[in-house]
This record gives sequence, C-alpha cells and structure tokens, in this order.
Amino acid sequence: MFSFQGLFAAGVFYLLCLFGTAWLSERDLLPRRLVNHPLVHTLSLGVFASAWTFYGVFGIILDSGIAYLSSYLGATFAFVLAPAIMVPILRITRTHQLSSLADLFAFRFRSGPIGTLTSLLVVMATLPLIAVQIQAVADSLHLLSPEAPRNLLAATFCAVMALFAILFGARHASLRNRNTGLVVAMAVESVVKVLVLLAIAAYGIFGVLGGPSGLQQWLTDNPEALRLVQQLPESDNWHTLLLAFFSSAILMPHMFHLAFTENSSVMSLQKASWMMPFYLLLMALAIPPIVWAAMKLGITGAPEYVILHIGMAQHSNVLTLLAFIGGLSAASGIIIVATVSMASMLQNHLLLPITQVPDNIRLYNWLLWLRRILILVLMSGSYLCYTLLNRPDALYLIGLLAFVTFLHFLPALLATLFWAGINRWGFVMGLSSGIGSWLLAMYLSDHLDKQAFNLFSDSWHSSAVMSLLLNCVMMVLGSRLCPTTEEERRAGDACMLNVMQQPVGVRLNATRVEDFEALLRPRLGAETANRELQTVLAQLGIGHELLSPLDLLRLRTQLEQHLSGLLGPVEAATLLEPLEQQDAMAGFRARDVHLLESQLEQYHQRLGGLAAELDELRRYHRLTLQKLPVGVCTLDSDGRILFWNAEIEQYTDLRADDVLNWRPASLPAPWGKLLTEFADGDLSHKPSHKLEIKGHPRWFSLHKAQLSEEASHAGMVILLEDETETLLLADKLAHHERLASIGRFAAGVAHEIGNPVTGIACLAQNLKLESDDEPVLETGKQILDQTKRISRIVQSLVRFAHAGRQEHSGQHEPMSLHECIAEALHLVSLDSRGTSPRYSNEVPVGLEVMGDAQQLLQIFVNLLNNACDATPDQGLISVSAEREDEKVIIRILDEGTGIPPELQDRLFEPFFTTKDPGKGTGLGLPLVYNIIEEHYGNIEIISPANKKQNKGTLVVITLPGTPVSQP
Amino acid sequence: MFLHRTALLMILGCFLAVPVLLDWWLAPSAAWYRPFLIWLLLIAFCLLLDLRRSRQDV
Repeated sequence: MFSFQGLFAAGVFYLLCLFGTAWLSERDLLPRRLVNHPLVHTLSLGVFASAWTFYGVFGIILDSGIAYLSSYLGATFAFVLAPAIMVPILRITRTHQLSSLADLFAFRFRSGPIGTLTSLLVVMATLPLIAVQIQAVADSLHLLSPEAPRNLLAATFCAVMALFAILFGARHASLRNRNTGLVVAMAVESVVKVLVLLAIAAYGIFGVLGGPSGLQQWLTDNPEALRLVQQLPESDNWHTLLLAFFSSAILMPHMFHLAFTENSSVMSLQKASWMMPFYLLLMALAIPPIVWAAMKLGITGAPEYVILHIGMAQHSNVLTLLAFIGGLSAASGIIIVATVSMASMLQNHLLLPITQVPDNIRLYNWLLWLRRILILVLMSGSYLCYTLLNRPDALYLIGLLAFVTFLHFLPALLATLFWAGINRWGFVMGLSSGIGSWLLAMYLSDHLDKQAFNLFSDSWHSSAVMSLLLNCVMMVLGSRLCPTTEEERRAGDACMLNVMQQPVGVRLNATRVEDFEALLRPRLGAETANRELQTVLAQLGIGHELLSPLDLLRLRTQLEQHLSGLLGPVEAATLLEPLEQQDAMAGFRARDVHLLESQLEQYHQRLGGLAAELDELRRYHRLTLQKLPVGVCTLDSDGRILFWNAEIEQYTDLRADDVLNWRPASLPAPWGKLLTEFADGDLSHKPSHKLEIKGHPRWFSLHKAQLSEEASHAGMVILLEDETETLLLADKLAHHERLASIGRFAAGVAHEIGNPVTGIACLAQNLKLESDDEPVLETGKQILDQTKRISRIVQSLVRFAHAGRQEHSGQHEPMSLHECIAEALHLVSLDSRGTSPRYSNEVPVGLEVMGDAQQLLQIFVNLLNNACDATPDQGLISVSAEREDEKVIIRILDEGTGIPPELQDRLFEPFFTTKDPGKGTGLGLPLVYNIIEEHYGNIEIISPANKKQNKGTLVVITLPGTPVSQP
Repeated sequence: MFLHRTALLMILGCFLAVPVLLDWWLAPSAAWYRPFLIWLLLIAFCLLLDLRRSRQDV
C-alpha cells in the first residue's frame, strides 16, 4: 500500500512536469521546429484515449471480450476518414475562425439560438464524462491508499486541472491564437499513456507469462482465457457503440478543440489518418496481455482497475505508480481540453449575446476573465456531477448516454459538409427529436434503475438506432418543408466541399475605414476596434485611405471572420449587419465578378470534376480575351470597368489593376472623354478617330455592343482597334504612287520639250550666219546658252526617268576613280557660278571601281556642284577615297553651311530643292541615289561634318571595287 | 441541390458493409492477433495514401 502523501507527491510531480512542458513551449524555450511539428499536433489528438480507454476498457474486455475494440476502432475509422471529413471541417473552421462545434453550427445555420442549443447539449453530455474521469482518478487513489480523503483529493485534482486550463488554455482573448503549451502538454500525455500501457503489457508478457513462447503455452493451457478475449457479444450493441465512438472522436469538445481550433495545418490531420490508428492499435494491443497476466496472477477485485492490481500483486511500486500516472494523464487530458473548449462555447453562445461589455474595461481582458470564470464554473459543475455520481457501476451508462448524444450531432455535421439543402429547422427538429426520443427511451426502460448496467447485453441498441433514424428523417423533412433564408443558403455554400461561396449581392453602407470603426466602437471599445481593423487591413495588404468597393467588401468579409475568432460567428455577423443594404440591381457588378474571380483563384486546387473543367474553360476564355490583339474593355451594369485587356493597357498606358471598377469618365485624357462619349452615344461603330498621344497622331476605330439585347443596362463591351499603322502605310503608298506618276510625266514632258528646244538652238546658231550685228549675236549666244540649260534639265529628267533600267547593269567595268574625279572637278570648275572654291583630289591614283564611267561622272558632278553652291569663296572641297576589302569608300567633304536636320530626311525626294527657283531642279540627288543603287552601292550624308564649328557636309559613297584577283 | 452522391453512397455502403466486415475482422475462430494484423494493413494503406498525397502536393 502507498502512503497518501507519496501518491499525492507523485501526482503533483507529474502534473508539475506537464505544467513545465507547457510553460517551456509558451515561452519559446523548446525548439520551435519541435513545437510546431505536425507530429506533435497529431500526438495531441491522443487525448481521445480517456480514462474510459485506460481503465474502463479492462472491464469491457473481461465482460464482453473483443468488443472492447469498439472505442479504438470507432476512432480509427474517424481518423482514416480524416481527409474526407476532418480536413473539410478544418478548412471551414480556419477560414471562418470557428472555435467549437456550436460555432460551426451557429455559422452554418446563421442562428444564435442554434449555437446556444448545441452548447448546452454538448455541456450536458460532457460534464458527466468529466465526472467519470474525476471518479477514475479518485477511485485509483482510493484503491492505492484507502486512508486518503477521497473527495478532498478529487477537489484538489479539479482545482489543479482548472489552474492548468486557465494558465495554458485561456491565454489569448481571441480563439484564433493557438495555445501551443496546451498542445505540447497533450502530446506528452498521449506519449505517457501509451508508454505506460506498453510497459505494463511488456512486463505482463516477459515478467508474468514468461515471454512470447510462455504466453503461447499459457494460452494453450488456458483456452478459456483466450476465448474470453476473443468472444463476440451476441447482441449488435457494439456496432452502434462503434458508430458512437466514431462520431465522438470528431465531435466531443476536446477532440474538436484539438483537431480544429488548435490546428493550423491540414498536414497534421493527414498524418493523423495513419498515425492515430497506429497509436490506438498500440494501446489496444497492450490490453489482452495485461488481462492474461492478471488472470495468471489470479487478481480479483474491480475489473476496471486491473492495471493497478498487477503492480500491487507483484509488490512493484514502480509498476503501480506507472499505472497510476498513466490513468492520471488519461483523465487530465480530456478534463483540461474539454473544459477550455466548453468555456469558449458558453462564452460565445450563452454569455456574449446577453451581456454588454462595460465601457471602462478593455475588451481583451474582459473576454479572458470571462473565459477563466467559465472554466472555474465548469470545473465546479464537473465536481458537483462527480459527487452526485454515487453509483460507481453507472460509469458505462453515463458514458453510453454521452456518446450516443454526440452521435446525434453526426447527421447534421455530415449534412453541413455534403448537403446544402439542410436548414436550421431541419437541424433543430432532427436533433431535438433524436436526442429527446433517445433519452425518453432510456428513461422509460429499466436501465437507469438497474444496479448493474451491461453495455453489451442490455437492449439499448434499438432505441439508439431508431432515435438516430428519427433524427435523420426529421432533419430531411424539416429542411424540405420549412423555408431556408438566403443568408443560410450562402453559409451552406461556404461550408460545402467544392462549392464556392457566391459573391454577396450587397452594397455596403460604408465607404471608409472610419465607418467600420464607428460601427465596432460601441461594442468593442475604441482601442480594440482600431486594433482589430488595423490587423485586418494589414492582412489584406490594403491602405487605410483610398478603398475601392471591392476592397470594402473584402474588408467586411475578412473582418467578420476575424471577429468570429474573438466573439464567435453570431456576434460577429450581428455586429457587421448594419453595413449591408440589399442591392436591387441585376446583372454582373464589377466587384462581385472580381471577388468571384479572386475566390476562384484560391479554390483552384480544390476544384474537381465538372467544376474543374468549367474553371479551365473560364480560364481559357479569359486568356483569349486577355490576349486578343484588339483592345477590349467591358463595362458592368453600373457603367464601371469590368475588364481591361493587355492590348488596351498598351494603347492607353493604364494598367488593368488601376482602372478596374472605375467609370470611364475618370480615366485620364483623352481616353476618359473618348470612351464616355462613345459608350453614351448612339453609334455602334466609330471608324478612324484621330487622337493626339504624346505629340504623335494616332487613329483608333471603336466598336461597341450591349451584353444583353433585352436589358438596356446589362453592361457593354467596347473594342478599340489601332489603325495608325494601316493609315500611315496607305499614305506612304499614295505618296509613292504620286512620285511614280511624276516620273512618267517628266519623261513625257522632256521628250515633248526636247524637239522645240533643238529647233530654237538651231535658229539661234543660224543667227551667226545671218547677222553681224553685235547685240544680235550676243542675244543669239544667250539664247544658245539658255537652250543648253533647258537641254541639261531635260537630259536630267530623262536620265532620272530612265534610271533603274536594267540595261545599264551590263556595262560596269573597272575605271580609274582618280581620273573620274579629276574630270568631274574640271567640269565643275568651268561652271564656277560666281564662287571660286579650292578643290583637292586626294584619291589614290591606282584606285579603281566597277561602274559606268559616264554615270559615275554624273554623280560626282552633281555632288560637287551641290558642294560648290554651299561652300563660301576660297572654301575647300576635298575628295578622298580608300579601299576596304572589296569596297571603295569615297568621301566628299565641303566647308559649306551644312544641311539643317529637318531637311536631311527629304534630300533624296525628287523635286525637293532649297536652291532659288531656276537654279536647281530637285532631281540631282535623287538621280545620284538611283545611279548608286544601280551600282550596288550606297550613299550617306553627314551634316554637320565638323561638329565643333557646326558646318560642312560629308558625303560618303560606297561602291564596289575591282575584284581582288583582277590585276 | 449540392448533394454529394458519392458521400451518400459511401454512407449507405458503410452502413451495409461495415457490420459484416467487422464480424469477419473480429472472427473468434482465428489467432488472437489476427484483428491487429488486419488493422496494421489498414494503417499501411492509409500511410501509402498519405505518402502519395504528400508527393502530389510537392
């Protein structure tokens, strides 16, 4: 026997270790990687293994054999199905910041009373379960140390549990913050429980039964022991019990709290899908060897405490203490977490709706103290239940009542996930008729009066199944017959797997952040309202000043989810309700579509089947519009910009993100005016509208169409087509055509003028023979000079008109460039034109080019004449040349006035001249250009050649040289 | 109405198949550790699914 003090010290030491672990985690003194590891969270789910599975299971195995597995297998199935059931619940609770089952149902059915009903039922079912845990600890203490004051110890235990729950389970005002200390402590408890069971089982096998072979031998010798463990109960009770454990593993407050509220990642639930079944397997596997060891040792006494008796029978204090600590950890885990969870439930659904936060108190502290007081109240309630529980044999009956009560929440939970048709009436009718008929059937039966209730042989099974069936039928009937509110339908969509929440057709009364703050201030106080708003704004990454309608809607949604973590979903929705006003306008609205699209982007990975195909199609169509090589802009029914594609971004230099939701009138000039006038006008097409953009003319064609023929305000699509390039090309073509006709015209004119001029020249020459009069002879000479000039112009015209003909190309032969330049210089110097520049022929003597001598002479004469005209008296005109590979580069440099930059582009245009009328034809340089092109060369004019003095012109001509092999 | 036909079918299927499957699982005629071996196989299957899911997520 243990002394009471020793046991107390051991219990306190264990609980202190637990406090220490939690404290270290909260203070970040344990490695963060370890604390946040999904494995730790998964292990914490082992809180499911309460005193029921630690002590009670021995009673069941001795009584009903293999049916003891029902609690382990029920939970195993729940975890195996975690990806299908628990992961979607986690997504909903995390998105909408729901912290308990009552929050989930209150959010789903948009009803405060449903949250209250759920909270009360959960508390009513859980308090007796906690009382059973307290009883287990008190009984084990009493068994080990009969002189210990039983009720005092139970009260002390409750006080320590309440302290732990307050210190580590109610640390943050908002339920969205994780209590890492609590999670780590629960993980430690899970490890302790399973290690204790395995250690005692190993002792049983090796210490009592003589190893695996000894066990086998003992089982052969004692077939009734094997049969006892393997027997299956006659009744089907354990099938229903299995279902009850399945639902309890998800729905009991401590499981819900750890699986969803304290969980931040889907990964831990996915890992739990195999880790928890393995954990439960280890626990279940340890039970039969312990039972057989106890049978071999001939232990009698309360079958539930067999595990304690083994150590006592073997006089091993270590074994007994281990078993006691294991039981303590199994009981304490559920007590702490269930109390924390129920406190938040009662806070959100019982107290907050009926209390007003005092003005002079900070909300966060107020909420924390409220929850701490609730924890104390709940723990006192549990203790009260324990004292009222004067029948130790009622353990199974109480457990059964509680587990089947949780089973009645299962239809509503599954409907929340998979059936959008359920409504609040269906929920209430199903739950009340189910639980009511179950409790009534149990009350009317003689189970409650029986001295020893047997879980597996008594006939409670049909009552449980029939009440569950009634629950389902009433749920479907209620949902079908009673009306569903629009709000409920939206919440239903939000909870459904693969169904995206539809954008809310509401307009907000708010336009600024201050409007939100003004709404929150009376309930939360100025400081809290401001802090919550700032947090949400930071999460959304939007500024405080300018909020678009889309931003306002996002702010409202995020704020509701955020406040739900603080005050529960019902309070949060009620608080923000005054913001909404129903929008009577039909059709797409810009912010709705953008909200829809942003949600679709988030949901993309989760879409499957037809929804995924449709989403792919949506993306394809959107991309098509986005990449269309025509500017596309759509306006919604409100006249706001809904879509702005890449091409129109390029035309306007306005990014889609900047202009979405704007009205076209707000766009900068000239787009605002253009689009507004066109959208409001009667014309559906507006061809070649000229705009001045950045100093350049641009031409756009506009087209528009209403999105619906029936409704005049259903929105419209506007196309913007850039026609600038096409129009410029057409202009260029017309210009070329004009030039070509001038060429043809010039050739005709030259031919027609040539004949009379020849006649005039002959007559002028004849004057010499017909008269000796000096003035007449002088006039004849002048007429002859003028006719020569006319001939020269005519010749130029003819040459220009004929230039480009292919017959010249065959006459290219090597010729001396030096001689050609020398002749050109000689010719030019003869026609001095009033100026006398200096000439310099620097072309190497032996340099030869391939070409037609006459034509090349012509280009040099033309170029030198131009140089001569521009060069002042005594100015230098130099001609140089050099050979580069197979090309010859000729440079003609003058010291003239240079050519203004604006004229340089037009130098080679026919009939373009800067000379006085009568002095230039405007055909010189075009002729030069044509001849050089014909020689496969090119010409470049650089002016000013001397950049320092800003004067002079350099003409660079490249012509093909003689082939290298040619001598 | 968004009623998941697969889910409904699965619930009905479980309701019909699970009792039979459980009776076979826990049949008393075989070795006492047989239920645990089948359990272990179920865990291995879940582990395999989880590994495949993690690989797909990466």
